[in-house]
Amino acid sequence: MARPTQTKGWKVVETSPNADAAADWSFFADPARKPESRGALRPVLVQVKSGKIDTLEQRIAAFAQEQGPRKPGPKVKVPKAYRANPGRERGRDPVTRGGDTLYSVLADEALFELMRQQSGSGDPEHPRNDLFLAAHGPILPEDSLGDETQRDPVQLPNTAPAEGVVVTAVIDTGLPFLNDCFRSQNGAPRVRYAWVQDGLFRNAPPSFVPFGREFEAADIADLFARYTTAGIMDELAAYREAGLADFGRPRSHALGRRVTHGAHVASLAGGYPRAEDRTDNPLIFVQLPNLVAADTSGASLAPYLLSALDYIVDRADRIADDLGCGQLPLAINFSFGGTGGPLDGTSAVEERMDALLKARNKGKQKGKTTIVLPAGNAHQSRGHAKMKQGEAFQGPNPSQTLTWRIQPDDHTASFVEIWTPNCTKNDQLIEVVLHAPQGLAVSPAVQQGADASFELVLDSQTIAKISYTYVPAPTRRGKFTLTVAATGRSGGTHDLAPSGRWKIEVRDVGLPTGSHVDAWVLRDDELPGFDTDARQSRFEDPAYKRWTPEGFPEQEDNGHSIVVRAGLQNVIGTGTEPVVVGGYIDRSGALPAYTAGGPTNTANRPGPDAVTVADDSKVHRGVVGSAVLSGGKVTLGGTSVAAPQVTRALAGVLATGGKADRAEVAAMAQADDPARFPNRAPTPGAARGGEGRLQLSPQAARRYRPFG
Amino acid sequence: MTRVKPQSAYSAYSAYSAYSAYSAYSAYSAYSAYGGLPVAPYVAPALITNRDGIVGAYAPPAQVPAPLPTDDPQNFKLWGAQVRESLLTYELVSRIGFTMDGDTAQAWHLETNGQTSGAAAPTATYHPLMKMTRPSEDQFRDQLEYIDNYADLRNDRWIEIEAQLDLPTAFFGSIAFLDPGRTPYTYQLVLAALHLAHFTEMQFKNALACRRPVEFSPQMQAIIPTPQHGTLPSGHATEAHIVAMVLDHVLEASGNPVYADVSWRAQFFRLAARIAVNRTVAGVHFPVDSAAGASLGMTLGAYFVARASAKPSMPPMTASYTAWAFDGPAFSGDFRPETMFDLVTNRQTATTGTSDLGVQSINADQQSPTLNYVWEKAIAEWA
Repeated sequence: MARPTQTKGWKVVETSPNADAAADWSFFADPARKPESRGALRPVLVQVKSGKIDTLEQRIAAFAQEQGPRKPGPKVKVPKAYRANPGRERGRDPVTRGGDTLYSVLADEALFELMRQQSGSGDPEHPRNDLFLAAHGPILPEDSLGDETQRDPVQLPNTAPAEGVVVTAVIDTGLPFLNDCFRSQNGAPRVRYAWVQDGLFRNAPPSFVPFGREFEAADIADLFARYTTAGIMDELAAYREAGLADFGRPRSHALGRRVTHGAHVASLAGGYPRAEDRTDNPLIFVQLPNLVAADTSGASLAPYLLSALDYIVDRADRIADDLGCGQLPLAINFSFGGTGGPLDGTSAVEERMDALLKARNKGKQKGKTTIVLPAGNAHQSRGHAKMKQGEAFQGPNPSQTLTWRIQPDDHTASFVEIWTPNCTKNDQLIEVVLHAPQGLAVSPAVQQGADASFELVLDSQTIAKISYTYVPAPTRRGKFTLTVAATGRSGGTHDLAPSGRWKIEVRDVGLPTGSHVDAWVLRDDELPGFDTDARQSRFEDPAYKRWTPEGFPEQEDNGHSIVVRAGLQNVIGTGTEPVVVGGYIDRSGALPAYTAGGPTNTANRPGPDAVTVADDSKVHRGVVGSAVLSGGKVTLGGTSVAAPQVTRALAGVLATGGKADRAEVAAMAQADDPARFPNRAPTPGAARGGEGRLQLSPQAARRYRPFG
Repeated sequence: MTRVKPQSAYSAYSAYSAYSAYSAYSAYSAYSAYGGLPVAPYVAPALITNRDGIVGAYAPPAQVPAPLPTDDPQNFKLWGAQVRESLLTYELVSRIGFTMDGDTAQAWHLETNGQTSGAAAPTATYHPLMKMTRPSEDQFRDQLEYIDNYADLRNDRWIEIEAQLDLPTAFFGSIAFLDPGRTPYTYQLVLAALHLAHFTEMQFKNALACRRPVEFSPQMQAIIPTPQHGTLPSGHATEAHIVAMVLDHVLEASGNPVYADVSWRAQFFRLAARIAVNRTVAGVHFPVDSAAGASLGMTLGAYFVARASAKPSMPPMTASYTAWAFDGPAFSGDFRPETMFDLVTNRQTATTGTSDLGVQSINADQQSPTLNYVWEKAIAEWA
């Protein structure tokens, strides 16, 4: 193949301080990006400096105006929920970050281009202008967009909730709301609201969601009625009509599969046999778009997750309103996670969860709303390098080189984040250099101070990128993002990055005594049932010991390697409020090799809060839960399935008037672990075991009566 | 003797002998242990020497046996299982006519009069049975999208797909006790129905000559070899639906209150739909093929039951069936089995692409005593 012009070497590209590195790569640098997505709307998180909701669109228009004439200007749609009466925004407050406000809106790519051209404002603590693109989501299908109808939020009286009633909410993929385990005895749906975020938008009757499709209990009951003949329900046909098992529309057939993550998780969180008639446990489901679930880096998650949380809180209040009572207890399960981030609770998603929980848990409502997250399965991923000042950085020009092994035939980009200790914008603590394999090229040393980025360009296509940005309060850390393009493809003619050992050189130019630098490989694997062809990269170090002398996977760090297992806990699990749950193996009581833990970068989170069963035994992996269709059973393991069991248990605690906060989970673990594991492994350490093990249901019962 | 096999016979891939359905009968033969040979090795020479040793001089017998009645179903029990199968197949296939009109193929029921009396030639009347019009190449191309999306289920379904390369009897036998030893006459009826389906579907496939997905796109990449006959109608869909229809009627006709519960029917038809869809998952059929096949299978199933259950001793016109049409050009979208059949009335229902051509009556005087004999024995097996 002819190569007309060779343009090897580094090119310095001016970065926008107004967009996060993942969005920047996705829209401007990635050689595999598709031009036909321009103009399409997608959810984004926009950070507005001291902005008010109603003027967001005006600020964006003014921003565009300032940049000069442009055709066409950016399209922005603000969800109606943000337009609600400002005095009545309970539970829907946008996240604040150091005085700025984060909104999840729909916008097109023209917005990013404008932000990219924004130059710094000169303010050392707030280098950005009025708007910053904090995160982006993948494009929604055209038919998932429409005109949302505005509706006032409900005002609940300040009275007690209906006795014994607890709302359980699940955010996940493929949630089968017609499944028998989500029905009451007389067949009525227990799922009161289900939002499919990439479903077909319906303009008539009116939609009260900003995109996708909502199913209310009446819609679900109607599907039951019309697809039941002589007492026999044809669920697949009903999902087909609902557009959820539609093999004629791309990525719309999650509920045509036998197994989905969401079906299993939701059944553990809130599935019960019909005979138990659990009308006192109404359910709310939010189904993430297929593309968001497939992107395991989590880069595209934030806008959808924030919208999901807003939705859940609103609908939980509507359930209370229907009952004529005060705010109901609410247990939310979100069995997703990734790696990377500051791990100190200051990421946008973590702040939102903390803010939401604190807003709902005031006064008599203390401990009545909870979010449960998994600790993550990244313990063996070799995705964390911890470089301590004085130890890792040796010699007169102290530096440490990390080997970053990038897999061949990886169809998605690979990312590493390097976070400095807390500092100010102008502090110079480290410099980072990126070396491509086989001496192909070396980047300039990227310093702290001004936001900057450099791209490695081959044949006019970007192969790798290194960028630096300062993340202001409350995080107050420098963040280096290293991106390497895909090393494989199944279409297109763009060049590929070389796979193999890339090297990241980190130089100590001013680290405070006793501090450390964290490097993270972002999660980048392909989930079963998806077709991203992603392959996970990792750090390598000869001193990292993978196996014990007996041949088992080593689970403890030996202190000799900078690549560590410690601290690979879920990137969104370091806020102060949510409950974080890891896993153990029921038969032995020992921890499986994968369950991740701390320590993190906040003293508040030495590890998960507790652990519960993720595998029945080493041979019987996983835990039995529901398949998509009624009557089907499937086993799935991992911390994803531990979390919903705790969600279920906490709903039980809430139903009897108790609290569902971290303190409660700690107390449950402290009671269970010493008492119920006499002939099994000793109590695990706090870094991965938290306050201890929870035996929420007897072993034998769970295998044969998974919802009992 | 030609042995008839449904579609799987022509797939070299099938690890299961196409005769596996028949091997149940060979179980009764002491010879079955000998690797499928009709006789054990060395039996013939043993019989030669043995006869030599015991026969003595030939002397004609004094008594002759009573003659068997001619053409009498009571003789049926004397013939071997494979012979009975051949007789049943003849009864069915000999009454199917076939014509072609442009893009429309039509199967007919041949009603003969005067067949059983005297030496005169039978007279014949043809009644509509099933009509099928071929979809356009553009329609097939639009349907490729479904095959691409259904490929997502390949990991879920490949084990079933391989097991379903052969006859579906094992799958139906896991729902109700259909078994060559336990319900031999029902089993025989089901095999006969499968033969009817096979002969009829092959005529349609040949006449309509529709290309397979692999001929439209290199990206279908079916996980089993694409069979060497036309894609529409789907043979698996036809066969699975004829068995569902026939079995359901047998169970209902047995009078056993257990089988009056509609859930038996529901499971049979869900299975038939799943077998059909699995072929799209495998990448060898379009959804429209399954719709055409399901319609044909249900039509033939009801027709089969009408022919088999009508009693010659009853007044004429006691049996009837409904003829159907499948209009390929009118079809669009996915195969939606729930719209094609009514669980409560146990009848095919008109939907996208299918329409009812009206009730056809069968002259019961000319019914097949052979079929009826087996039918009566079969329904008694479920009492």
